[in-house]
Amino acid sequence: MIIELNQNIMDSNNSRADEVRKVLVEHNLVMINIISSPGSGKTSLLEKTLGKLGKVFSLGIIEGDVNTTRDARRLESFGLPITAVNTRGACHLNSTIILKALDELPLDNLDCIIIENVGNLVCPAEFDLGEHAKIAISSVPEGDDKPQKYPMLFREAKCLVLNKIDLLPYVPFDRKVFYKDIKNLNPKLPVIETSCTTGEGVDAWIKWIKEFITENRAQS
Amino acid sequence: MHEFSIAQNIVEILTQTVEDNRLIKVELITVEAGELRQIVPESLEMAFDALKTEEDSPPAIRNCRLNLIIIPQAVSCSDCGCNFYPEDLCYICPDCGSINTEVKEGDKLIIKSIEGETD
Repeated sequence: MIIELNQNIMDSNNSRADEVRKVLVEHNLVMINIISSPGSGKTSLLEKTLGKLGKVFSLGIIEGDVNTTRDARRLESFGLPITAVNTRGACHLNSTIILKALDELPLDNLDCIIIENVGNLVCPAEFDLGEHAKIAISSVPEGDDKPQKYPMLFREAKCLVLNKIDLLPYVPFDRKVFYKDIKNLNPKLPVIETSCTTGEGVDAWIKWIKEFITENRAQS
Repeated sequence: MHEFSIAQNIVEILTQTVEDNRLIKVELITVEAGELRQIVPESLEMAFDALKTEEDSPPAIRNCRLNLIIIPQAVSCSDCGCNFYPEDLCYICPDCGSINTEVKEGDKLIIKSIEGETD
């Protein structure tokens, strides 16, 4: 016999993501999911962001790592509630992990939760975590071809940060190619250029995220 | 290696279907993967083969073959209504230049059907 199923393979992840969304609505929380390759500056950007953003909003962090809690330790000095999640080898976070992590954060006292996903451009883009926005970070030394190679993430993202622009004079990175590919892939995607070393562009990024949080809290 | 998590979900759904329909043997599972999901067929097959033969998987699925069909993308323009394939990953409407376009096909992961025997 042939059984026609037509079932979405991601159903179980998606239904737990719906549970996450319910929790977020109950507590009027905005959740941001930061995704990039390993080493493109997720933790560095957060180090530049948390001080200033933390003055306006009450923040909580979910720090995903395949192994170790190094990134979480780097962010400890900000004194914010942080939950470190080890995926024990898995290359992405899923909505079950997030649902559990939410239990460990003081949700009633927070405005926004920032997730630092595991460094990877393919898998994290696949998984709905119940977040309001996926933010992609691409960095100059990775090359200008990342959007073409990993289209899913750049299609899913609500904002793209191009980090390490201080290295533009030293590495082959064709801005024209990068921007043309982004425009074709996701014409509405805002791109913010930053350098966590010089601080350039960081204020523009903080402005974007502030506006995003304000807008989305007002809606819920 | 998102293929591993995806294979886990496939085996979970397959196991549930075997129980619900009291199947004694499943021969074939047909999966449709949208091109945009960047599934590596060999990786998905390897993960599926490893998981279906695990001790806690039902014996009925041990010899199940995976039939993976990659679905090409189809994009539709919300302004002029034309349908197109995003050549070179360009999602701007080739007819009217609109950026208001929507992926209609090629972004999903679906178990289409299961072929098996009941007792």
